[in-house]
Amino acid sequence: MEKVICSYCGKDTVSIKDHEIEISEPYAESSTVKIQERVCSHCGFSEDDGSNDLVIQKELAALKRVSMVNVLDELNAMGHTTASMERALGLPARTIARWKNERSMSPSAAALALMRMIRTFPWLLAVADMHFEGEAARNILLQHAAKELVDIHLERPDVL
Amino acid sequence: MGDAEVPKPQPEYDIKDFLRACKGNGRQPSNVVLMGGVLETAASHFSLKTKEATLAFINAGGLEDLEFVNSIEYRRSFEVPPPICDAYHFKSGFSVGYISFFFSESNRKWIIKSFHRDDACGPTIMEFALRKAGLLPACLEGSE
Repeated sequence: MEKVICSYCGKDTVSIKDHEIEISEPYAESSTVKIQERVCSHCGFSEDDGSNDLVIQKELAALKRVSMVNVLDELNAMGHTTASMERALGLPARTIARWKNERSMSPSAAALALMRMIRTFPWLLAVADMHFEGEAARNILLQHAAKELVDIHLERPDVL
Repeated sequence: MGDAEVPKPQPEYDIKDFLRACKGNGRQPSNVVLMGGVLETAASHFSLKTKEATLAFINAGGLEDLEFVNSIEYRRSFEVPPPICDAYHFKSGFSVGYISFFFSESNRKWIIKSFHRDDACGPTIMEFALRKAGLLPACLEGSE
């Protein structure tokens, strides 16, 4: 077995200490992973163990998948069909369906970022549908901002 | 504060040496080490959830507008004299961050001691933007 050496003092008086960290991804629940810290009893130096990245990456990949599925489920529930989103965004047919259904496939970070933005501001689909034309985009933004303001006023008249 | 702890006005290291060291990213044997706790603040403050992601961010020029803060001794050192720790503020997007690191001569390794958000360190991004636009209220002028 390979000797564990302290990166600071170089002594082999290193013990591995487990501790848990919580990691989370937007639109997915958080998850707890056990990571290891190397603690040297000679100099007191503590450092991240090199094996942690793999453990974290594995859990993150699972959380990202959950996040994508949740985002797409919620958009579908709002009435945005997969085919209409693919068309508005100029994606090849079945791209979004594959992100959602193919468990073996990990959607790219860019795909996840795109769909999270659309889940946060679904009216971006209308902007995409208008080919991102500047004036149309501004009108859509203002319409939705006005609607939000009215909704806030109705819910909390004291705020506005 | 004793004489030995008076912060140095100049960086101990050439920052380029540190940035260059971060190029050998976390997947390969690297001479950059994250001290305990750094991974957690990198994840929670900057969404950099692994060592690889943190070093890749630094390597990609993520530490923008680096501003030297101070150079102080690494207090928990066993080395005599103790290594000097350089600290910098940086900007990234809407955040102001703080990084401190030192080079351990005995092991020829760079050690990142702190990496976290530090919005309280000085003018916020909003203040920078307001000042640039000439819209900073007079009462905040000179607050740096």
